[in-house]
Amino acid sequence: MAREKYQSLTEQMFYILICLRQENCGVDIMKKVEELTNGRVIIGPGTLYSLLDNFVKEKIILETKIENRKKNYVITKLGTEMLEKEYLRVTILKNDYEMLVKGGEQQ
Amino acid sequence: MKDKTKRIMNFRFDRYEDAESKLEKLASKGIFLEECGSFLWTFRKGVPKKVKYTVTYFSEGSVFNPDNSDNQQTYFDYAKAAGWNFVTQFNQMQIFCSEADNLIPFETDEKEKLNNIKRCMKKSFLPSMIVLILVFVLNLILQFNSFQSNPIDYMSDYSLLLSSSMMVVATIYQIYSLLTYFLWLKRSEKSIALGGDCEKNSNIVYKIVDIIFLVFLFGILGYLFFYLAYKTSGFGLILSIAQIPILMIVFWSSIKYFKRKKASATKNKVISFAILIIASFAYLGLLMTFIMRFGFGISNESNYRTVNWKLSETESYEYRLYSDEIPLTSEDLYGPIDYNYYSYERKSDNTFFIFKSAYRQDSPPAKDAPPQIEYEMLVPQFDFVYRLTKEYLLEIPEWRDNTTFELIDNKKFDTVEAYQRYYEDTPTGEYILFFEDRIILLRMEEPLNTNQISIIKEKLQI
Repeated sequence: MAREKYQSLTEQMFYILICLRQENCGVDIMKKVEELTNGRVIIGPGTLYSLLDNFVKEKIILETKIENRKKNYVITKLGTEMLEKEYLRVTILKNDYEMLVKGGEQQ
Repeated sequence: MKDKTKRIMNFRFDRYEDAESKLEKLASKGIFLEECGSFLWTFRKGVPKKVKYTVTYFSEGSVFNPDNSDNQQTYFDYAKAAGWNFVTQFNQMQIFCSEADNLIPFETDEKEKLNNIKRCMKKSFLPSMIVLILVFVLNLILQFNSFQSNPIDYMSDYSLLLSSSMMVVATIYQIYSLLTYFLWLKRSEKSIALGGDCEKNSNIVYKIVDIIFLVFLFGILGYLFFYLAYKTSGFGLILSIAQIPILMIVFWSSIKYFKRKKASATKNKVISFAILIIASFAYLGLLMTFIMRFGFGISNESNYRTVNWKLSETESYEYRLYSDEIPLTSEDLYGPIDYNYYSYERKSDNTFFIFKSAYRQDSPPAKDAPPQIEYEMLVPQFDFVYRLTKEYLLEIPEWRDNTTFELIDNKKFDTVEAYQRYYEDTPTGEYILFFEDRIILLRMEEPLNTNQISIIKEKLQI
């Protein structure tokens, strides 16, 4: 199910997983993603909640502890694999673009 | 509390944009949402401000929850961090507002948003919709049953016809709502697959259809109440109109009470529904007692006097003796009768389908009771009604195999077709007379002689 559902990651998913390589809480993720991307990628609260909820259900991330009512999460092995897979996918895209579009121009 | 106002909001879950823009418009007029309900929403008056609203759904939300759950609190925290302030909630619907200018949208992934809505609808909207449709369909089946068991009574009774058509309209509307939801879902899925947003649902056609349905529904409802008010006694009417509001108040008070007592959601749900069911039965009982005690279907037009009639040494019963005008009386048929306790009753029911006038001259039970007569005139307004009526009238239940209808000479009453009822090969005083456009039923105590037939023909203008 997880594989089917997340064949590719959206930017928002991608950056949430990036942030969760270290333990983090939801509110911090929201702020951090905005900082990391200079405001290019923003995550709305509703979307953040459902993404984290789904990630936990699909065992992509893990709920670690609740501090002052704040839930903390960290990425799992499955999540790391997905991030890696996404990296490979985007790399293939990048390489293909360079070879077919940029390389094609030079010929 | 003068600074509070209540407004009716006809809100549809898949038209959240409509609610958002309406709330924003109201805020710019200085009317701010404070609490929402199923139909009546509470607003607070203040200085006009530019406020942005967002209507979202939280799948774990429920009116039965005693407190906001930890998950919901987390949800609120995220919203707060993004600049959205929680306003109010009803079931899964959550409303947030913000006065900030460059605000992070509440939802930034349309696919997640749609999935979330889908999840919420599966949990609350769809089951309740399907239950409602089932209840309506069941009701329609019952009404169809009453139509089958006596089409004449059914078709001549305005309140039955109106309540049936109301049920039909309500059922169609529910099914329509369900279909438009699925249509919206499919369109949104398609649009998102192509990289777009959830389909905007504030289509003008939908609004017009909604208005037409509501006007129609409330029109029939209003007419039904008007009809009942005209036909029946006032208190009975008030009792039956008040039924739904009273039951709703009981139900919501129970939910609120157990919420305050911090009962768990399941406990609250079970107890509140149990109370609702018990209250419905209690109310029905009350209504029944009232009807049995005072009567319900009494026409205000009739004038009558009541007599206390001794049935035996110990028993007595109150009888109503009517003195309506009727075209044919026992005196016409049988000569002068001097009797003080005759009741002359007339009942007319005219509907779109059939005009029905029933007449009866009778008296309370007594050994020396004078002859009673009873007759009905039916004027079907359509061919199929005529056919149905005829079929029904000539039908003899299987268990009454000692009864038959025998054809009689059409010349007798100048009919198209005429029957006399026979009981075990003996003719009775019951006749069914079919004319070109009307049907007359006669129920006399004895078969009629030629002289009486000519009197009837004259009096009933045959």
